[in-house]
Amino acid sequence: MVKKLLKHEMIAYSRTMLIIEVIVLGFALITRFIWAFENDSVSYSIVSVSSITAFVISIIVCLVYTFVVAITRYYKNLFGREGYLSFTLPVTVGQHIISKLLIALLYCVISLVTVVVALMIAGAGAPTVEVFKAIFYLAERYFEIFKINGVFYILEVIIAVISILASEFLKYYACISIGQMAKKNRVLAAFGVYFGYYIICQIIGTIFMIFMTSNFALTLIEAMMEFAYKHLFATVHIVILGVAVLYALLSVVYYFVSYFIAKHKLNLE
Amino acid sequence: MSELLHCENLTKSYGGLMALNGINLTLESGKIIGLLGPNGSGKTTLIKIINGLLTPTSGDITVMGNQIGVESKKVVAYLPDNSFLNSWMTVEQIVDMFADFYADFKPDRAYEMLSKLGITPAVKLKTLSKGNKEKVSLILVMSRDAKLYVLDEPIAGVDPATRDYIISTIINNYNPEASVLISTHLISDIEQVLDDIIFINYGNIVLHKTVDEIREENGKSIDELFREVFRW
Repeated sequence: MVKKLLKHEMIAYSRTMLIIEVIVLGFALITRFIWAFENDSVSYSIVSVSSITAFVISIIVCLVYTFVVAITRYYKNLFGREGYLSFTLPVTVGQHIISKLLIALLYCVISLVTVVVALMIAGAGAPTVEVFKAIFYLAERYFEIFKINGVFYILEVIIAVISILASEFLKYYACISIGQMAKKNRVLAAFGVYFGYYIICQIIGTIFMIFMTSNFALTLIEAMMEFAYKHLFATVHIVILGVAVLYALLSVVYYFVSYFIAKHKLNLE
Repeated sequence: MSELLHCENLTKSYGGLMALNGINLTLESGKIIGLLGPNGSGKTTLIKIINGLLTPTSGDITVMGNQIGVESKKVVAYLPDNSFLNSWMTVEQIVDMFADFYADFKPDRAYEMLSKLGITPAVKLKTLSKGNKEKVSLILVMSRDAKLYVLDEPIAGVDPATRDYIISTIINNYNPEASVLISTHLISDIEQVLDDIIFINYGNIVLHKTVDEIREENGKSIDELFREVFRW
């Protein structure tokens, strides 16, 4: 059933996201085309700046909209009118949440790839060649220094980024789910939950920072710095994986909040 | 006849308001059952609980022996009282979706009914009129070989011709081994097809009898009895 949910999620996303991605690539082509006629005239400057501005805006819209679609899709498809169909399909609540999360993550990758391809198109020619030369040089130096650790760092960073993105999406899902328990103004309630949670996190962060100035914390930091100095490569592994695990744990908590509410407290209007 | 739906002491409260007040109800297969009651009597609440869209406050509910969940949703076909289809989808996409998720869905039956109405598969749902949207929703639901069809106000807000179409579609397409639970206010339009009647008021089942029993005992039509029971 997850495969079928993924299929229909893809159809729903593609409806809007594909258009935005085509627009980004279109502006990249226009920018590159205009650049081919580079000269010192004022009219060229105006057209060039306008196309670059439109291109940059389209990239920002593409990246922001990837998040917006993920959030609105979760709300509308489960807690809006579409929920009357979604929740009567013979699938579990967990399958709904997972399928939505997977497609949201997939579209983050697709949007990122689109932006990279668009930048390559916009800078096709000498600038792109220079960028690639710089990347290859840096990659060579990177693997010279870190050797096999370098490969693992890249994999660990990818895992950590996925973990952070998943936790972000699941956090929004959890806030929407809690918000739908309100008797009315459920969208407003979801925003309230999000900002309430944000404030709590800020308070915890402040308390943590105050703790970090204590003698005990300073001793701890000193010991950690000593360990890092002696075992630099291992320390980097620990830090990246630590971040990945922390966000994975948060993801699990957010997932179960959404799961519990949709399973046991569902109350479609 | 086998037991399809069983509710025991089913309760749903919204804060202090009791929407369902310890309902005990058993529905058997092979019947068309009218769930009748005034506004706010608990009809939609009961229907939403049967379909897993609301969680009861207390009590027990099973469909063919299964708690409400994946197994019950496989055998219950539900038509809500609002537009529940994704309006950006084409008719073909929504048919494809039903075929993907419901093993008992018959796409050929759906396309045949759609073609009789002159609705082409490529048309987007948002371009259809309200009446045609309701017909498409009903066609999708009635193209399943479900065990229990739950139809919430299927003939409300449509013209008399559409009403006739909806009633004939229900009668001609439901699985004869299944039961149909129809919630409605428009009793006179539908009473000739009903086998059983459930009157619900203030979250309580006040009457659950066959239509024949009612006619024999009261000598009245369902519409007349409804007006008598629920008179202000």
